[in-house]
Amino acid sequence: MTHEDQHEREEELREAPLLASLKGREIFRIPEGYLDGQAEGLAALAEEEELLGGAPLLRAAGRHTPFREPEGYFEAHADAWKALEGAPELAAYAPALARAGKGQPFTVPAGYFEALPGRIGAALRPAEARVRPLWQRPALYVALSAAAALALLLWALPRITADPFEQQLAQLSTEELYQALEAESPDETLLLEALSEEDLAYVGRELLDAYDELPGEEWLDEIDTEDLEAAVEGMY
Amino acid sequence: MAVLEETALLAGLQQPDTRAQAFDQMVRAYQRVLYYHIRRLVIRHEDADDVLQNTFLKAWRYLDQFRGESALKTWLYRIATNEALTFLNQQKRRAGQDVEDLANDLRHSLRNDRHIEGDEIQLRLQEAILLLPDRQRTVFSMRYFDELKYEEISEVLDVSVGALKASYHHAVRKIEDYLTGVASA
Repeated sequence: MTHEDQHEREEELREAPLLASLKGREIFRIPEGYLDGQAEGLAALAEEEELLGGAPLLRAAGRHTPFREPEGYFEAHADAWKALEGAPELAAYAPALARAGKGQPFTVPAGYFEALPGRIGAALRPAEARVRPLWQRPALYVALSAAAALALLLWALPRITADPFEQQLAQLSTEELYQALEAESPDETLLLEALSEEDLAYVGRELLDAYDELPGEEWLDEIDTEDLEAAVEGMY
Repeated sequence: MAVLEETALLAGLQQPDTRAQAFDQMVRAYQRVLYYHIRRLVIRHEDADDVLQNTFLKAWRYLDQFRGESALKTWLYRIATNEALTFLNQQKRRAGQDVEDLANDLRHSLRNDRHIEGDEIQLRLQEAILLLPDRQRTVFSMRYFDELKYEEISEVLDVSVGALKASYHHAVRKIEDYLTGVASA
């Protein structure tokens, strides 16, 4: 209500003070609890309408079923179950069972229950003792074995995968290398790459000795002039 | 076990530093009732001993999952019952036995086991109980011997109270018929 509306209403009631005094007093009362569950009830009605709105015959049939239990059925079962609650009733309902009583023929070895908690505790301990010294852990030995195997693999792998020609060269002595150089003229580039400084010095000395052994000036004929020129060019 | 005792026991079980001691107390408090519950299902002492130990080991393992929504006794009964029924099913599978064969085997044990001593009517009652299906046997045992409330059995087996009452009613009728038949034979 706006301020103007309120002012207008007050003006209207100025000439009717009795009516103005009754303002806000409600004379109608609703039965107690009337509004309780109203929302749920309305929701149920709406759901019912939604479910059965298009099915007037189903609505007319209602929810009653045609099934009927034998007369006294529930009472008999209620009595039976009630009878089973206590021993006196059991005697009337199941006398043979009542005579058998609740005694049991089962026995246990002497001291069984006294020893059981200790046995249970012992069975729990291995599962519980998860924190063990390092040297008692199988995982340590597995890790050490794995590390040793890895080291062996790293050491052996380059040897296994190395070039077979290099492996053969490594196994030859310096003298054998020189003889091979003389006899079979292998790939000189490969040989020079494979030879150590010591091997190269040895080869150099052997070559000079070989030239020294040549008689007179014959050794001059053995010199390849092209090699000589190349060597001279290399010097400058 | 009184409510206050169980409350103290539960508090002890929840604390890591007091758990082992509280668990020992729990074993001592419930070992007998659980043993006889299991024994009535598996009959032989050695089997009951195995199942009971497994029951407590599982209780220890799953202690963290126990929220206290049911009573400790109900929770332990549930584990014990499951362990015992699982054991019986394993026995059937291992030996390729059908239900009748296993029942006959257990009835034989009733008469020959060195850890069974009872008068004739007690043995007859156990024979009658062995004729029941496993689930019905379990219900009868918990209700008749252990005198658990239906509401407690309902929590153990996750079966409605109404269904339990019906099951117990049928079990009593079958046992009564068997005992009457034996008496008149």
